[in-house]
Amino acid sequence: MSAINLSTLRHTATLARIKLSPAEEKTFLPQLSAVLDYIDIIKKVDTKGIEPSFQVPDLPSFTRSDEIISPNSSLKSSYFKVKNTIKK
Amino acid sequence: MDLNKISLSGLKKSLQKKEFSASDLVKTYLARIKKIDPKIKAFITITDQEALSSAQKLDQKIKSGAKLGSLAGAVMSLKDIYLTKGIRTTAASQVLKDYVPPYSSTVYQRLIDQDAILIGKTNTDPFAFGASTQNSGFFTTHNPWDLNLVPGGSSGGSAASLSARLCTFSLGTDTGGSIRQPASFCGLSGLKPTYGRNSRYGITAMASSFDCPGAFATSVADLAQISQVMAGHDPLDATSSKNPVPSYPDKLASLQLKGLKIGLPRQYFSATLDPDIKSLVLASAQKLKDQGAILIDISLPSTDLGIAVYYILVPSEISANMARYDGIRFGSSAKDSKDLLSYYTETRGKYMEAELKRRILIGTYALSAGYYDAYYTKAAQVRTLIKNEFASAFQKVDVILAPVSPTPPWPVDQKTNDPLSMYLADVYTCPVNVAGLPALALPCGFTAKNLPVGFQLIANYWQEEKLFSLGHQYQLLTDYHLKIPNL
Repeated sequence: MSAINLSTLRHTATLARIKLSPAEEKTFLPQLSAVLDYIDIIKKVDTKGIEPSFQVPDLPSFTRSDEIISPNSSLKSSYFKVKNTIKK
Repeated sequence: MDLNKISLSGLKKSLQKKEFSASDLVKTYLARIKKIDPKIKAFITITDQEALSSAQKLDQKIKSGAKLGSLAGAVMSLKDIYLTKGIRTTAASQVLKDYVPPYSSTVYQRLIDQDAILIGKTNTDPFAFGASTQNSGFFTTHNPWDLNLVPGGSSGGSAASLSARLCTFSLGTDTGGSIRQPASFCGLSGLKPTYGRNSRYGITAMASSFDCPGAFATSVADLAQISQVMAGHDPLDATSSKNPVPSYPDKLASLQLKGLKIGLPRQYFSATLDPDIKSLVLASAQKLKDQGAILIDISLPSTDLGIAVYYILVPSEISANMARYDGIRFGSSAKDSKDLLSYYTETRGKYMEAELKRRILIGTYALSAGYYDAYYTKAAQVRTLIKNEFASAFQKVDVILAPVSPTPPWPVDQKTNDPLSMYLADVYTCPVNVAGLPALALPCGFTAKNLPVGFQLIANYWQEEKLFSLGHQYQLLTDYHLKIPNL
């Protein structure tokens, strides 16, 4: 059983930077517990010596130079102008 | 012109012969959208002005005798997660409800470069998280075959818009079945290409090692032509393949049905499969057998692990990808927060739809300290097992034939309080995404209630042309793809 409890849910929500209302906590707790219980079936699989696949079909990743694409209005010399985040 | 009978090849000829102009065509589509879309609600944004102006430019091009693009005049709708420069792109979420992107996605650009015309942006589950459009932050789309039912999803608005003939073709994305399942529910042909075949650049990211852009069309022949334009290397996508793209339209007749080995995975025909769907899918296999194909019973024993692997790895990637929606760089944001942490949590708490939150929470949990190896690494190992099982199957068979959805579409007002049961609806589509394989969904008949049913053909990596050829030959033998909903 990996069913999560309320304090784990709250901790996870903080890590995820999501504020949950009390009503959401009440709805999500049983829903997420059911999903986590279900996915536990993989724990029974013998994966000894099996390499993990992080992407298939194993394509080579490559990089490129970065380019800033932004609406002109948000560029101030070499800075981005963003919205005010906290109350002054 | 009869919008119900338009095909890509016919369209270009009609324009060249001046049977009608591109402007007339767009006006006819817009009039039909005006009349029918209020019932279906496929579109979030109708790009009428842009469409009319593109049509005028194309008419000038025709008049001047210039060479036309391969998709000249084709009117397309786009799932609203494809970025379109200067045109609002919402991802069907309140998070991006007013977002106007400063650049366009690569595949969209390739399509308009071939003279396709954008007519609108379609509804989806927010950021493509769902299988019905019921999670959309705007509204739920209705199935043109029965307005009380969902069109499937997440690319449900795209499928519904094409099924109702509000466009000539449409684009969706398939991360866990989001093209194949709505194609099946709406009576269309849809391709989930090999991972890396089509560029992901400029499409809001869900799970970056799974996301596959692809198209819906009313026939496999049209789909091959559209897919040809979409496919190919893009230096802007770090996992875009450099494998050459064969000419799909030229290879439609290339596959020999006689002696073709078709695998039927027994796990895909289990007791959970709706009996009507089962008999229609098996009848499609029989039809190919009648042409000389050989049906072979195969086993993919880890099929039931597909959903579990998917719902660990995909939410994990989601939780990382969705971190960018911090209220600063994109979209909606909270006001008057007391500090920066509150600003983030309040912004995300206020604007993210419930399904976004659920999946981010599952992913954050699976990646958090103490759980990473038990969930993420373990699931990535089981992903290898699933991939290996398909590889062994393709030693024995040329192609795999299977159902798409275990059930027909469900009622629009049936809002489930049980996300797990929704996740399980992807049981036959997810494993293909876990393995990164290409799969084609196409219609194979109707239920007793006259709802379309599709089946899928799965091939080995980079063998899209094999799927198109087999699908096209099946459509030469059947007329299910020609049926149109009565609206």
